[in-house]
Amino acid sequence: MRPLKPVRLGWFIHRFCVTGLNLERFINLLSKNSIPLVSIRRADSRTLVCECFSCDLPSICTLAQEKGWRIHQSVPLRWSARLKWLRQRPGIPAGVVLTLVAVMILSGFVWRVEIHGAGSYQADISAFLEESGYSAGRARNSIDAEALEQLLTHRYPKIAWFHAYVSGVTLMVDVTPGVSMPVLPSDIPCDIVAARGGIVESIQVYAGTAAVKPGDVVRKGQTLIRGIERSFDGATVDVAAEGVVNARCWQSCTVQMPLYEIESKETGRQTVFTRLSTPMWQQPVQNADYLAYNTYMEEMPVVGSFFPVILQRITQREVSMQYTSREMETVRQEAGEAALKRLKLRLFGYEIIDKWVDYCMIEGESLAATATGEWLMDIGVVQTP
Amino acid sequence: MLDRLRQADIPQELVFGWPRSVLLGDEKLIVEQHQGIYACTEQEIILKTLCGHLVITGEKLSLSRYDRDGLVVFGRIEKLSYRPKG
Repeated sequence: MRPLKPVRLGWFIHRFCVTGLNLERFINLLSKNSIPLVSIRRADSRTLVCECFSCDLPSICTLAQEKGWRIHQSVPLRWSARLKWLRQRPGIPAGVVLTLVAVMILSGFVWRVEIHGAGSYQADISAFLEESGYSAGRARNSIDAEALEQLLTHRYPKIAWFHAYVSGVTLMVDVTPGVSMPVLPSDIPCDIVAARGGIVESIQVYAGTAAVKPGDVVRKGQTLIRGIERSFDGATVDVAAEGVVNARCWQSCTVQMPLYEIESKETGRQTVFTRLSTPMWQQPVQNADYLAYNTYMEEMPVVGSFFPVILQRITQREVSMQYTSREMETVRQEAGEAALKRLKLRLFGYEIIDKWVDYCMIEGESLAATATGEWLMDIGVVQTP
Repeated sequence: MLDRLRQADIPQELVFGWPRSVLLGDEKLIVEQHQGIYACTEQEIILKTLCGHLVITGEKLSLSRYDRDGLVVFGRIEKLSYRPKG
């Protein structure tokens, strides 16, 4: 049976010194035995420094011993050296293997639960999942996403649908809230009434009888289109009123702003405390006996401590409070801008066709700015019986 | 015989076992079809070949990738010459 050919890998190299007479014969002998050398360098007249593949080293040593050459200073290089280094430290490969095994085992469990798009249900769904056992630490293959979706759909009827799936070590639950059904026109006789007050700009009646005309001032709840129609023989028929009633509407927002401001000024008196603080505990300090004070804090980590301990230097400086009157024009401008901003927020989505601001002084202490906006909208809504 | 080989376009060194040397600059010499090492020092490497001894002279010479088929000489190569056998 032929011996197996050694596998020579270029990464696994050994360096050795060979000493003796006629070293060229030694090299030729290796060549005859089909043992390649990676490098040969003459060190002195009787020594060669050679590099060989690690798998050939035992054969080289045997040949050298048989023929009378001495092999010494055998040193592993490249990956052979690393392999030797690792053999001397068995804890490292064992740790790597253990880590890999741990990662493999732990990746079989769910470690996070993420809920997307739940809005106000977020906390409730999270608590429900926790109660039902869908929490961190549960095995991935024990999670039946379809059953979970059914469970959630059954519990939350107002949610349109749930999509549960496991991504990596995260249980993802996508929530799509339901949209309430719009009121559809029905054949039940009804009126159209004003959703808010305003001045009618135009009216288009598709069914029923108009109860107002352009230019009329209407109040909230007033009937705009009656659900009655007169037939050709003079009799009245009840119908579901339908139409568009465009009206100019107004909305006001008021902002009140004081004409004075409180200014604090440090008096020069101060108290300094020093205390130790950790994320869990803080050394209590007694506050300074001032009516009002500013607090300044300097933090310094305690050197040499592995635990996060911080030395805090707290300075409390006494301040005196003074009332200072503000310029009327500045207050007026700020109040007007604030009122307009609030109005725009309230009328978000509507096209404002006109707006203005009124000011009034309140007991000489504050200024009230009222911003009024005018816009056009369909104010008719179906009055359900 | 030689004429026939030339006509057939067959490399002569393959048929006769002549050494084939490729010198790259003055730093690297690749030798194929050698018959072993005769001498090896940092200043001189002598290889046995079918054409006689191939003498490589230079400074800081070292052998690399040595096996039965070929070898590579690294170092500062100054001279290549043949010395008759015997």
